[in-house]
Amino acid sequence: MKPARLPLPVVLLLAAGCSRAPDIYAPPIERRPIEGATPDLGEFIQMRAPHVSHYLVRDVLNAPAGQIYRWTNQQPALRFHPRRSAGRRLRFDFVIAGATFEETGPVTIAFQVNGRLLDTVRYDAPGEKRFEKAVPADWLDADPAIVSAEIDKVWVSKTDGARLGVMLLGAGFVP
Amino acid sequence: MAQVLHILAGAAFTVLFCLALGRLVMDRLSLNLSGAERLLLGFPVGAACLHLIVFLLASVGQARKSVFLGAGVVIFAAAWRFRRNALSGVAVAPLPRIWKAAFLGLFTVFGVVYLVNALAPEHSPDGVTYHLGLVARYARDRGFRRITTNMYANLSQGLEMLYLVAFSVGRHSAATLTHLAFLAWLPLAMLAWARREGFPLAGAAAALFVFLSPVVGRDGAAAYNDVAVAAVLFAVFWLVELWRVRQDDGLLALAGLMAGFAYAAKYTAFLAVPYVLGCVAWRLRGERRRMARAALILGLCSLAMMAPWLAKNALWIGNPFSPFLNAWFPNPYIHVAFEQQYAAFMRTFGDVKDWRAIPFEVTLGGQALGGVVGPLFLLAPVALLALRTPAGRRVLLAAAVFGMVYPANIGTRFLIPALPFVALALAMAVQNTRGALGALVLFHALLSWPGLVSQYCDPAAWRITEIPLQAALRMEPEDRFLTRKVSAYPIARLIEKSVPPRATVFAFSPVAEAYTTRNVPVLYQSAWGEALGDIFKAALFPDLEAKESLRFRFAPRAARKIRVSQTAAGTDIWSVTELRVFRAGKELARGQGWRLRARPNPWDVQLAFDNSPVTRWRSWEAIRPGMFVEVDFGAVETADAVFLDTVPDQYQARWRLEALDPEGRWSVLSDAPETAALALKAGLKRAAMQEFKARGVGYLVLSESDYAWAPVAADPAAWGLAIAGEAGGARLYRID
Repeated sequence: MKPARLPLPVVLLLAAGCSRAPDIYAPPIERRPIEGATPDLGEFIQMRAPHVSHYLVRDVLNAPAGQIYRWTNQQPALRFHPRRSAGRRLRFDFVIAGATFEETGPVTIAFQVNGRLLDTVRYDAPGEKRFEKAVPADWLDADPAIVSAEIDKVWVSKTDGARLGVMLLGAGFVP
Repeated sequence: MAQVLHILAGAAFTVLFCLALGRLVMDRLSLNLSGAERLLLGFPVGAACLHLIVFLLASVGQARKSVFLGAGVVIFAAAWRFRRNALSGVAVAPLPRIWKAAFLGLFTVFGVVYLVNALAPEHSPDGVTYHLGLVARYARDRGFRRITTNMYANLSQGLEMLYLVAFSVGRHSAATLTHLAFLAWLPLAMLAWARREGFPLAGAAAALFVFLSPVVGRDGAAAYNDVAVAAVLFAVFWLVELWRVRQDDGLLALAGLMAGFAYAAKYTAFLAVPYVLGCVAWRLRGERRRMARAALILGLCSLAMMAPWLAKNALWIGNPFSPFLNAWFPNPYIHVAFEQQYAAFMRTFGDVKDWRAIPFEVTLGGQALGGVVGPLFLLAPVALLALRTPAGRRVLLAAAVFGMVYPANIGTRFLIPALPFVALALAMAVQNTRGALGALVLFHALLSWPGLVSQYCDPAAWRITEIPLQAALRMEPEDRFLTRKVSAYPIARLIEKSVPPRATVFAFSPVAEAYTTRNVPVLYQSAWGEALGDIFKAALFPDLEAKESLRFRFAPRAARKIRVSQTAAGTDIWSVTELRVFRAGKELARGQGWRLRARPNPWDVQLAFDNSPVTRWRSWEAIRPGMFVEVDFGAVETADAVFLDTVPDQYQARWRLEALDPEGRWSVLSDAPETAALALKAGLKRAAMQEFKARGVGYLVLSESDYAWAPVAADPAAWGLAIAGEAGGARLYRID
């Protein structure tokens, strides 16, 4: 940050010895984790909840605070901290919008937990949907657990190329 | 009043220095020029030479008042000692008395308005931030220091070199008055050229079209450089015109110097060099030897003016054309992605996506593109009628060449360099229509008067809005005037009072750097600043937190190097927050024998190995196959997994892990990583501020319009920040 105080002619004279900034580096001194309270993840999150952003891993779009739904892209993923691994069911509450359904037609969604396929469901009509299915206890060995959905067809905007999957209302684990 | 005298003395000294130096150069070249030509051309020629002298002084840390004054005295004496008589008997077409009166009257009335505005404390947006911010810095440092956190310091600053001379004597307003001198010069030069060509009325009218134009007046009465660039380009044109008739090598040399100075004054004026070369080549077509000699003279003279700026950037930034062409000259100081975004913005200014909106915006609107040239210029297409005459064709050629770069930056003031030629062509096109020139001048004068401009343009248009006589004479204190005129001024003064001299204040938006001596790098102005912005966002926005872990698992493999490559192309920026190598479930310690490499942006590769959740290596370029982050273990290591912590803002990225085996063969280990979620991290905000401190930043300044204002204001303690003061809608925080 501190600027060098070399007159330009001196720099010019030393030009032969000058080299560009190096492009190979040794590992730096590693930072220590900052102590403090870690924001806690729950088992289930509604999209209107104030701290929903902590749960979103990818493909869930921003929305105004308090809005009950968030649009997803093609592969939304969220993270959770299941209180226990036994007796948990994965739940996704979402809406397939009529406007997008008109273009995509029926959609098939693959629901996954920690990268393992839990189920694949075809939805033949728009409207509010709930997916819920028991999760094998040994699938919940990672903390946080990542849950994701892969939508086979998404609506693509003709103007800006934006891709919309479903309107997610909530997701996570329930007893 | 003493301050006003200092200001006037600073500007007068600089202008006289230019005139004397120009006169000396022209006399030594034994040019046969009339008295008016020598007087008028002497100013820009001297300015070009003075800029070079100041550059050299700034390079050796001797850019200070006493040296400037001493050099000035020497040059004044030499100019007197070696003076030559001007060419006499040069025929020029007379200007009718009524036109003479009209020209002088309008020149004087508008000139006084401009003078008062220029004399008032400098308050233009770019003047108080970087034009004079850098000049003030050079004045404090007595020259250049290597600046890597402000892209504006990498632009060519030919005019700023002149401002430095004026500033050293009379401070800010003296620099502004130096720019005003170019504004006063331009119409006189246009008239002089037109009189020699035999159309004095068109010349007088065109000169007034330019001089009275609202954006020209506003710009010329501020510490900008557009009007000076227009003046320099007109000087180039004029010298080429003189050479066309007289074929004098001295004129050719001056044309080359001025073309090079055009580049030195503003990058976008680089077209002066091909313009001169093209004109000379056309004139000498078929005469190969003369053409080669002329090209050599032009090339050497223009290079003399351009080379210092190219060399300064090449040596200090690693890119002679910084802050542009970073993809061609990769460097750690300006990101390629930033340059692309910046260039894209300048092509539309964010709002003007349809070019058909530009004519209205630059003549009548003025809000989106920053000012208006005046409704008169809606008649610009009429200028094409000037194609009927040889002089008209030459003027229109200059307009076309110097206006060619306008689409790259559609701000109204970027039309100014071509405006004198458009104005001349327009006036030449209608000069034979009885009464047309007079009517147009009257129409333009009325619609350019500051009080009337406000009647038709957007209220936010950049223009002269008052005649601040009290402030100009310093009867209204500078501090009060600047507080009411410049929103970024109060915080600059607060920084001056509250921050120790060597501390660094990081700003999310520009402050009036010309009015503080503290170092205030701004987020968007460098790669360094953008990296800090990225760190801040990682702590502020959960969406930009490293939440995803990409896990490559493979059978235990002995390797010298491992490399994570990018296989996709797209518009996303690729990044790796942390790269960890594992064996049997245990992370390998990053030994000091390890060597890290990345392509592109190798300079930030350590950010992927620093164990910080808020820093990341980023490509800072759109993803493309072949990008990589690489670890050279320095010895053979056995590993069975590589984990990457990543931010989920790179949807297009596709990853591949490769290894270099002990025999020196690369092989793909995996291109299908598992995805896992990372646990929430504590203390990201404090971690971000620790990174700021580690980079030498002790303070943070936020304005109400900054995205970070509300979240930081809500809980400064969570960030480890303490409020150090508040002024003018901005708040200064100290990082504890």
